[in-house]
Amino acid sequence: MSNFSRMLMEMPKYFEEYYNQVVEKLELENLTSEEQLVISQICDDLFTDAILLACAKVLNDDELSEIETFIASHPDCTLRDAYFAAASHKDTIDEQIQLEMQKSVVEIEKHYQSLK
Amino acid sequence: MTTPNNQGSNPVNTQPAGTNQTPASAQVNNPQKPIGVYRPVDTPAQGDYSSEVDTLANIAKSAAFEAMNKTMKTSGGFYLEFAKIKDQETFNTNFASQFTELTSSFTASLESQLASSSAVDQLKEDIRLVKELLETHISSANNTDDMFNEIDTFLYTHGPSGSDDISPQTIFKIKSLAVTALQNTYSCVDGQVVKNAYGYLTNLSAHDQDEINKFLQSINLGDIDDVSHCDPLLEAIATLVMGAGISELPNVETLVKKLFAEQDPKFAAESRKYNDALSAMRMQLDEYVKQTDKGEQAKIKVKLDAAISSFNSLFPPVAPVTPLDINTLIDNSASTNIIAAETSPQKALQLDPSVSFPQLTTLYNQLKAEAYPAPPVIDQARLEAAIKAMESASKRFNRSLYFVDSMQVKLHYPKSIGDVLGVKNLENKSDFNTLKDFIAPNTPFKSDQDVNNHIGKVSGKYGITITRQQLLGGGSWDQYDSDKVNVDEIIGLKPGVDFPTAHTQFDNIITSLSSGFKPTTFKSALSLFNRSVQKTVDTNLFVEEVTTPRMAASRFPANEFELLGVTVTDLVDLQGKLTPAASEDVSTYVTRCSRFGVAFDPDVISAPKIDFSDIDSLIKKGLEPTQTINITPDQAAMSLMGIINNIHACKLDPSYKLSPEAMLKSGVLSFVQNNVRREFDNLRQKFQTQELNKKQVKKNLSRRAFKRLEKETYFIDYKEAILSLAVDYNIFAASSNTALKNQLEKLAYADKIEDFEAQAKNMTDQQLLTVCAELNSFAEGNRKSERHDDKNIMFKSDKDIAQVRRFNSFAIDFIEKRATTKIIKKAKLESSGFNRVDKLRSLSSITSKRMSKLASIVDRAYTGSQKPANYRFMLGVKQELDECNKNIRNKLSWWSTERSFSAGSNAKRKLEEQISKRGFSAISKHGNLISNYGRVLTTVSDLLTSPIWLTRKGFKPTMSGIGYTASSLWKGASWCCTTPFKTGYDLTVKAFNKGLYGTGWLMGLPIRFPYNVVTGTWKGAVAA
Repeated sequence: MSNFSRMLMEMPKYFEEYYNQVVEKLELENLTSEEQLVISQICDDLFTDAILLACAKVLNDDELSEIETFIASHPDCTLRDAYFAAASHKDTIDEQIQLEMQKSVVEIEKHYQSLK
Repeated sequence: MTTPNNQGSNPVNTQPAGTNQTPASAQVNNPQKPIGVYRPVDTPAQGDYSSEVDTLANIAKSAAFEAMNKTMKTSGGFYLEFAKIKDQETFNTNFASQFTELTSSFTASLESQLASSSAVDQLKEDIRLVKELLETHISSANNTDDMFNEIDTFLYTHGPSGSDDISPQTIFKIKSLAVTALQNTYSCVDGQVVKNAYGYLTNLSAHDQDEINKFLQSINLGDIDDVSHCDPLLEAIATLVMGAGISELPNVETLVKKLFAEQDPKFAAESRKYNDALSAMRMQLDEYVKQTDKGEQAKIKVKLDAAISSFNSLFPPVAPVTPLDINTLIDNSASTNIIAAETSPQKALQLDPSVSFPQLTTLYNQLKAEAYPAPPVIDQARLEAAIKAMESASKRFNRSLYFVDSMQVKLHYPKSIGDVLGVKNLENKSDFNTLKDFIAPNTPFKSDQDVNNHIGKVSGKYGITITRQQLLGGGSWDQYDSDKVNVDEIIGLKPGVDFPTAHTQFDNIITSLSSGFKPTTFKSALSLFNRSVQKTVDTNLFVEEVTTPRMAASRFPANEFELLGVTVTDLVDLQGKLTPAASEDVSTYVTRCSRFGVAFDPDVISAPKIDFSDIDSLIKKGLEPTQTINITPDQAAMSLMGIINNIHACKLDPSYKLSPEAMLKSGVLSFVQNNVRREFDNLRQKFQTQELNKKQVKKNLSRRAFKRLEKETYFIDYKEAILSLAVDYNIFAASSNTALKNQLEKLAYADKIEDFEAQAKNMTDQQLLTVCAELNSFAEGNRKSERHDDKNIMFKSDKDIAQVRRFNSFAIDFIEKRATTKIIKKAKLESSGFNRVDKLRSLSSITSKRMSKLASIVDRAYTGSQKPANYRFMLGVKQELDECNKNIRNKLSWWSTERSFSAGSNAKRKLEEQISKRGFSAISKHGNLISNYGRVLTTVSDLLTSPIWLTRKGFKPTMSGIGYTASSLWKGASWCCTTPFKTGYDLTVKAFNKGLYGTGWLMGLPIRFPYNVVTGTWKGAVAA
């Protein structure tokens, strides 16, 4: 199994961890199930963007240049596929993903608290 | 997203030269400048010529309008194609709104000029026509295409080719407004706003911007510029404006305030109390409506009144609930509705709505005829038809028509007495004796076989079966004795039947049936008959399924009103009787109606009086916070994002409606996501490439990835591209001589325009443009090479692509120059005997024609051809130029030769020399023509950058109000530069330097002025 496949398989676990933290920080327990569903969808988008950012951050300039050229010359390739494929072979990707997720959770908490 | 200081104000930079419609800061260093629009950004207009520049801008946009309009006429829904609009309906609505807003503003501006104008009549006429366009034509259009068509038709009808009652300036302006409205509308819906929210918001109409500023001020955030640093907020506002519309901002404002107010536990508790009280009242109202018992209703009413009173005292500042009108008085204003809904005669009488009252009388008469048919017409078929007709009528009248039941008696009418007795051929009275003689003949039988034959004959002729025993009495055939045969028994009758009497009685039965079924008469006649024939005849032989008529004793209704159970005798009058009197009590009304036979359900006719909208509206709004809020732009952004999330969720399913708390929390998530996505995009940005070539991809891709790309790509250099085109017979027909191909090769490497011209002069425009198109398509990477296994074509290096661009630039410059030179030669410059209006019209007319043609290029570029768009575009350019030249050459107009320069004029010659030397490069900046929309707008706006007129100084006095540059310059020149668009306008050197630098219009065509004219070295530029 390649790193890429392993990374994809890890995603649900990552998301679950991430979402649980969001639920805690945003105090979502009291919301209705429909409301939680809507919010989990938004959370999923945020999660994906955080992962993409993590992927971009573990790549060096040459690799970023390469991947962008690859995307430009392969219009069918999605951002997620390209960046996952490139970053999944990096040793630090797991840590970077954890870091980005954590950072976004901190941001969520900070902004949520600012509203109170 | 970039900050407002370095982003474009519009996804496509379509502003004509010198306009100042976007913030100056938005026009420099644009990192997101759309690919394919490489127009230079002009210095903003300043000083005393800004109104002139506005006029020029209007003309440029007017041309764009022509191009778009022409395009849509052949392709349909062009705006959808160019901008990939998905939500067509919203787009159309936005466009209509934009155009209306801009046009109204324009009308107001015209009106403000009335007091000072020297042409009041024309101004008034323009105002009238603009209003007519807006109120009559635009309002009736279904979509943007229709609107463009309406505008076009209207302007044509009132323009120089039609009634000529609208001024050319206004024509330009209206077209310009349409284009501006379209540009704004694209920004509303094509997704660009996400990247350029500030540009989008600041490009909205003044009214819309004002609304947005009001919104921001209401939440203490100043105006758009004050929050320009907060991209998430700008994007959220833009999304709301695009999606919900500007008119929703007041509601958004309330909601934002509420979201933050809900964070206050005290307000939250009040809010809950408010909603609970309203919900309780709503439930009581529902209960009231459902309740049929008057007493119970009254009890609910008491509770309801108390609840309303309590609510109003608890929340007085909000919106007191009006005590609801749930009494029993018919609301006079609602009486018409009541009649229409419930008291039409058809409804009141519960008839099929399709029944009209004249029809009713006809139907009644038909029924009556069926019920009392005259003998002898009645028969089974007739009866069946009558029953069917009456069943149908019964349904339409919604009445149980009892005579239909009585007709359930089905008569059979046996044709003869023989039918009843089971004997064939027994019809007349004398037939009975013949029958008897036939059964028992007097002649003896001759053999057994003879007996059998006789039995067969009787069966065949009369249908009677005889046994040998009945015939021979147990003896042999030679012992036969006719006297001993009991014929009556064989027939089935008792001996001694009085057949003639029975026959008479049979006739009596039939006669009685024919005059209508009368059970007693029938039974009596049948009994007599039975006694005569001494057998019990089956009744069903005459009347099948005889049932006792349900209302046998009833009479048929005397008229159609009785039939319907109404006591009135005039159905037309019924309508009047059903009209409720003013403030008539429902019960009185119902009683009155019942007097003439119409029964109403009081609940039904009084139901419309109860209006729930008041209370529903209060429930929907919720408790509105009255205190001001103090929030940061980020917090505002989060709340707006939450509102947007709620809108999206509700669109998916209303059950996903978010509470204020959920909205705010989802807004926090969206806000963080926005930041993460922005960081990711920024990280990518500097590595993204817009031009691909082998050198670039090899540098960027890994060895393995490049190898893979290499396998599917054919790398070509400029030289090979030119060679391949030179031998392409699709471009150079087989009949072309080889010299042309050699010329192309030389052309391809020309470093200077002069060298290019030397070679290009032997090629047709079409050939040049086709080469351009092919080269461009190589550079854009959207071509495959058939000769190389259909691999994608990619240029090898930046240098190759640069050469392609240079070729394009030279070719287009050359074509324009050649076309213009021809026109100048043919049209002749002249300067006397014409006035401003003529000149303006001339410019307008030629401009319009030219742009129409240009638009047709776009049509051809995007429809119906398998060739790449660039190819078709370039081909179209060539055809347009040819056509334009032809039109102008054939045009006998204000520019007639009689009033032109004399042939061989030194001034003309020198001017031509100058123009020829400098050439025209109005569209030389096309560069990479990738954006469809940009391609059209860039072309037309570049072509029409500056309508400046060159005229001989000596004729200045004939051109009222046209100014001059500087008196010192006049002394040394016979020519001046001027513009036809404004009385008293002074075209200064400064103006040239600042705004109208270097390019211009002459007779509807672009020209480039000699630089020394611009800088003030007048003499020698175009000296006489």
